[in-house]
Amino acid sequence: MRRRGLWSAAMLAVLVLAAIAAIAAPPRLAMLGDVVFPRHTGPGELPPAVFPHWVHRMQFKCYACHDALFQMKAGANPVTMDAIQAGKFCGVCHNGKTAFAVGFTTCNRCHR
Amino acid sequence: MRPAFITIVVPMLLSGFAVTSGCGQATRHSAVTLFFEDVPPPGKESPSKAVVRQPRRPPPAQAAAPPPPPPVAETTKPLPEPEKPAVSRDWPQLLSQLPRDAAGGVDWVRALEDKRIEPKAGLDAAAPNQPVLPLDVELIPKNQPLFKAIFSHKAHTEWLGCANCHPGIFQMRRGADPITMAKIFAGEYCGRCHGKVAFAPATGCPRCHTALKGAP
Repeated sequence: MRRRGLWSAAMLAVLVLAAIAAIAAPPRLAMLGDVVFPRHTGPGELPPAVFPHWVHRMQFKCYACHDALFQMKAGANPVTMDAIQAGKFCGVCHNGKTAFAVGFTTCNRCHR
Repeated sequence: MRPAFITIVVPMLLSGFAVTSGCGQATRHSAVTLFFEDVPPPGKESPSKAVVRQPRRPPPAQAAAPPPPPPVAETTKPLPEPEKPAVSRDWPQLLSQLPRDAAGGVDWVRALEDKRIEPKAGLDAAAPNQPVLPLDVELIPKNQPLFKAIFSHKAHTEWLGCANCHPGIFQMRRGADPITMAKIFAGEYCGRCHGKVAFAPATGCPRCHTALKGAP
């Protein structure tokens, strides 16, 4: 009986620790300059795409993309997956050559 | 009669042979060599050999090691230049190493100055940088010289081209734009970028209002 009590106490401690770890784990960092593209095709599909400015500006100056590819205003650019697949907007680089291609293996790199 | 002969007499004969052959050195030797190999002749000690055990399988490292490549004649093929170490693509790790401003955000201007990052000028790797303009503009609110703001064209043209801001956001004439903090907070003028992708006006006061630098 005493042994069983010890076991359940140990299991409880493990569960509590796991819960604390899950809660304390930092969520995906939101950064200044993240641009969320609201979905127009309705809910129930992938989460909206997030454009992280920070990782792009580590590699490119602003004028590499602005204003030739993207206007500097959220919502001003009609970015769609079709347009990207056609090599416009993100698709200028995200074509598998300069940067990772958009496809069914890379969805969650933007839709997260 | 016959079985008795086989079961009794034959073993007796055999044992007699064994006993007689075991008596003398020479006979014993000849008898033993009938059955065994490498019996030392009488008078010679059997040389005790160290037992050498071979490994059951060859040691893998030596067996797997490829033969060294043939030396390349330097006259025909010069050694390739030592390549630049590949740029780390662990972006979060790089991000954590960038300099931070007082508010805790990334200080992108200093990161660029210190060459912690080397952003390219265009999608084409050979794209040239746009010119940097070393012009500071002082913006002094009426009767409030303490709140003088200094706009550094240099810090901005390191990242942006003229056409990114002029004339869409700012006219290219001093005093032509009625910039106020309220409008900046509302997302106009500087607020088009600051607070969205560049440091926030709410936490970066002394970066523009340089007279406030010593303020707590």
